[in-house]
Amino acid sequence: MAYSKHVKGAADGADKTTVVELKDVDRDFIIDSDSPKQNQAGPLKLHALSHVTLRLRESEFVFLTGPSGSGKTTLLRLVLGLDRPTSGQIETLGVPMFKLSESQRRDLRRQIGIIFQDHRLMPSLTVAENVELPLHFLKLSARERRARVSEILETVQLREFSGGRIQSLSAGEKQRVAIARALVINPRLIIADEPTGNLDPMSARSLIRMLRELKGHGTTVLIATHDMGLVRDFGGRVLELIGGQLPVLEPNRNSKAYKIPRFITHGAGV
Amino acid sequence: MIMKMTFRHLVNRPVSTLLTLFAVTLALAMLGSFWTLKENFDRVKVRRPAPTQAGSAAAPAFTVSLDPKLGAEEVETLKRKLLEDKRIEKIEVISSEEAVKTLEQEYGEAATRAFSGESLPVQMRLQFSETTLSRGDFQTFKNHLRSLSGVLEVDDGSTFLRPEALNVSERVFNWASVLLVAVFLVVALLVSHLIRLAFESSRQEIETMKVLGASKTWIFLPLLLEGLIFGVGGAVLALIGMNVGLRIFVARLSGFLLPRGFEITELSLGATWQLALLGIASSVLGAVMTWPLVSRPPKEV
Repeated sequence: MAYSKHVKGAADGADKTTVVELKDVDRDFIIDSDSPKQNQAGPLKLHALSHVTLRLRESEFVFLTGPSGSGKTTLLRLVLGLDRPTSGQIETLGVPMFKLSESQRRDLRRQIGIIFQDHRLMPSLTVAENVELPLHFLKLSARERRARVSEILETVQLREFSGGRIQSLSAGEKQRVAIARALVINPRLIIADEPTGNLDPMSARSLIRMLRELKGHGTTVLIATHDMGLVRDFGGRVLELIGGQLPVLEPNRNSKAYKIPRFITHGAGV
Repeated sequence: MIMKMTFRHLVNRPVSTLLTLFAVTLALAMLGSFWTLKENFDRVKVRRPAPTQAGSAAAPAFTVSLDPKLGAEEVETLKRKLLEDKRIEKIEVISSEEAVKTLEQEYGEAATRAFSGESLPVQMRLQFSETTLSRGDFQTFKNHLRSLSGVLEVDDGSTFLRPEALNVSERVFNWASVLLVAVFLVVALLVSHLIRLAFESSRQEIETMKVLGASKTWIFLPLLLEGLIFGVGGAVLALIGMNVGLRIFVARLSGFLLPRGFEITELSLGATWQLALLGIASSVLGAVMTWPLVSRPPKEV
């Protein structure tokens, strides 16, 4: 991997089955106040995440749930290296994220499939070109790019839309293109932030099913959602963030190494 | 891919693209018009009329500008003194008011506006009796005139415009030069700002590309390309517009701005290139101004 060149021994020396690891991670935000009284008392701190410890392994299919404002997006941003923790350690794909420079973190993100709630496709590009975009960042040859795009569009059943404009697609189709864009790089990790937020129930289920099938290919999938119906129906491991805290139960691990959770929600198992 | 993204981005927002192109064209056309004026003034200034010195068929003449503080008696004394030289056939004294009238006849309202109420120096027009004069004598007499008390300037007719006329063109020219610099800066800032706006309009796409791992160059190139399209396109349209405008209004403008017998000419090739380069430079400047936004880490997910 490109980023392993920069952090000596990081990727090679890490536990191969661990894809994401957070150790006692805190993320505080300072809130500016207009009130002079509050300013005198010192800045207000919002504890978005408190003592979060978490490990995701290869092929895991994980739902990250919790009410709005519970810190789901903050956690995903930290895993992607888009935000810096106040304290604690984060390893993504076996690499200590915040020992990397900004450009090295960018290189690392090229290895991760990312799906946004509002698809974030480029309206000026066709379906195929949108899917091809991350392959440009990986500097693959045109032939290889075309082959991979063609294959992935077949997988998500969008081949006939290949030359079509994004604007002509339905919400569900757009999100399938976004999934194709995430899958085209053959990622070890997929991170999806509320990917079904704008979809009807049927499209949402179809999309989650598609993501769950990746489990069999060794890809770890982390989906942030507050749709508990989907969580119940699809099972997998469930992490519930409540007030920035992540109660964790990992049955096969030595519990002393991890925080004992106050809240535990987990599904049908991994 | 970058080229495609840029062109489709422009095509997908036609109103914004056309307005931006129009604004850049207008700004560059304004600049080009000033430039054209400047070049035409330069041309008039340096052009020389038919020689009046040695070897000329016409009798040589001098126009002497006098200090406005001189009274009528002092002017008369000076005239008598000069007429003692037998080579001088006649001396015509032109009052300040007459000088203004002559200028207005020649340049129209532009002259009146340029002087804005200031009085012109009294002038003497010296006509030699001989039709030929040696170059040495001509220069000696000119220097003698300059050395006389109360004489401000001696024009031997070697410049096309008389001193007062030159004053007019110099003033207009100086103002045009100041405006030229101002318009230059405005155009550069305008084009730069328009490119920044283009960046703002696609901020979400850019943030998404950053999150997906796009390099700074990958993000910067479409912005640069977009800027260059506006810069070069604007310059080309401005030059076409200016040339068409000059062809249509040339007679009217020439009569108003330049002395009789002169016509406004199109912008020279060198200045045309400079104008096009300004468009390109402004575009690059605009794109460079977006660099802090391009290079900062992604903020959104």
